Amino acid sequence: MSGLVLRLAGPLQSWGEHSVFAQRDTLRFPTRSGLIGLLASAEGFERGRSLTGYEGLRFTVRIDRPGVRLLDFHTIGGGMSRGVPRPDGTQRPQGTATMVTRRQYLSDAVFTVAVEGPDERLAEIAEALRQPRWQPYLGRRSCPPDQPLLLSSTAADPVADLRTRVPIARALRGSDQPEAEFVTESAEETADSVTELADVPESFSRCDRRYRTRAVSITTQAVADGLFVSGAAFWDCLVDYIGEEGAR
Amino acid sequence: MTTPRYLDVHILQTVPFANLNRDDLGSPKSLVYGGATRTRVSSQCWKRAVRLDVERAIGDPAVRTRRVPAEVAARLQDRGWSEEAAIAAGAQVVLSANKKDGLKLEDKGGTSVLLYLPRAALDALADLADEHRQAIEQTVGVKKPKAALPVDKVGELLSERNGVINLFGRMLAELPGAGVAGVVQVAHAFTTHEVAPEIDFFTAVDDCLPEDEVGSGHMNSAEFSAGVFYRYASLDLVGLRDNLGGDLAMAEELTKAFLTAFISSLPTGKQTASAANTLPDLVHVAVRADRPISFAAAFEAPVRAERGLAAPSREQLSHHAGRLEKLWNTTGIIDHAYACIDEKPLTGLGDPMDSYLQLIERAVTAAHGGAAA
Repeated sequence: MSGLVLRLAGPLQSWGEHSVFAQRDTLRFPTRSGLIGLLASAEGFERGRSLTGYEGLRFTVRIDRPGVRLLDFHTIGGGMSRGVPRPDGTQRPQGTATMVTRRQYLSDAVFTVAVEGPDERLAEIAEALRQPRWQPYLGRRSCPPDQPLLLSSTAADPVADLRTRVPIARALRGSDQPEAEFVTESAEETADSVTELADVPESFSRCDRRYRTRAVSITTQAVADGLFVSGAAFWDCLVDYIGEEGAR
Repeated sequence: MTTPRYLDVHILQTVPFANLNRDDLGSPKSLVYGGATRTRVSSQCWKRAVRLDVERAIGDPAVRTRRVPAEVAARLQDRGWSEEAAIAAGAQVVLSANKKDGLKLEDKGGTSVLLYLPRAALDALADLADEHRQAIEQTVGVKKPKAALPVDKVGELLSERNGVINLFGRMLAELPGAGVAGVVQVAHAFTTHEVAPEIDFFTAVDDCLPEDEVGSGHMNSAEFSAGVFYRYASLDLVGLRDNLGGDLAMAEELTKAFLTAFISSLPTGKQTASAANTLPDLVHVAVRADRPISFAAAFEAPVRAERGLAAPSREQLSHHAGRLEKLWNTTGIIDHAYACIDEKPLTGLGDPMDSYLQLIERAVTAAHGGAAA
């Protein structure tokens, strides 16, 4: 069984777990629902279509750069000269005329994701990522990903690649150990922390969005020393990895 | 791979001392990228300016309102209907659209959700009520009236789209089939370099101060910043043609209107105090057969000032685009070109064009010309 390696990087990303209209949170790493949404949108899956084709996928996330949490203050209706109209024709009073929403983003974050699953599904998904039906985004429509997003579609052992081959855009300083945090899909005894997330999508239907829970483990693991590169050299290393994979 | 599927537009734009988009404390919005703080203009902010410009250009405004019943009633009263009958007709619009769990009337006669529809659809709804005037007039005074308008027709009119809705989409769960997937993706604009906002201390003079008194009438501070912004948007060309039912002429018109508006529009925030009315320094458009590609990563390492920031930003964009193209090879590009204030040619961004107008014409032809064949 081979797998895909994805790189999620860009100025902004946002991976909400229990966002509702006015308050939109983000976790500090990509959610399963966000990742499945990214793949399903590339494949042109309409909302409401069955997501069983993604159940067999297993995601392992390496946190390359945690980024900075950013709170975006976003208003609706402020441009209306007399405030937001009410149904009966009156206006909301001045003080409450504007609706406020607060949206969290991660800025400057980078994640590398290993995707394992049935070979034929992975091949279809890789093809869709090369020619996505809809514009891909990192959790929110206004967050386009840096390209290349798909680093490899034929990694023999994508999780091992995260530990030994795919470069990390971060310089090791002083006494920093060559290690990175991994988010894996099970409750492991050796983990630094185990948590339960309600981010397994059963349906993305507009009227009937449902999620199940899953356990994830967050573990700090050693990675190969040479993977930490910054600046222009990082780009060369990334290109080398893509080239060795010959997957493009 | 020859069908044009995505149109990417990349812009570098210098904005002097301004605060186009501010947060709850009045500071220019910001983000951290490559470890450096940049000024940001949110995608929603700039998109709204673009959307209003597109509406003006195509002369077909859309309204977002809960007052469809009242608007229809007002039109009918103008046509000589009695007030009661007109109000009953307004309510009928919602009652007749109401399927299970669908659109509802609230106590004060508005719809349960904001509707978003072309202004012309309001007139069409009034026309429809006119056709069924007798049936509606019989419902006046009835406590729980039944639907008097044809359900399909009302649903059709409430779901009507115009250019802006076909471009930017519409979210409406309450009416089956009324949701429209937006085909425009706009990224947050951010400066290519590190920015620390300026604190502008200001006082206001009291013009009627007694002669023996000194001092100002008001003291405060405001925040502004200046910078070179990287702006990016992508248009899903296949989605646009689908939304338009394959109408290529309309697809071309909307693509042109969108490109023109994205190049020329500016948010209005604090503009009376800053007049930062600039045009882009550089516009690069790529029509692609594979996938959209943002060049934000060109500025992950913040640009440092040498001969200013704008020229090195242009070079950096061109360098990054050329590098990605080599890595990616050019099979995905159907056409790409740029126009720029520099006379020195840039490699990596396709053919140089003399004006933004020519660039737009060329992009529109590349985007939809191929699909007609």
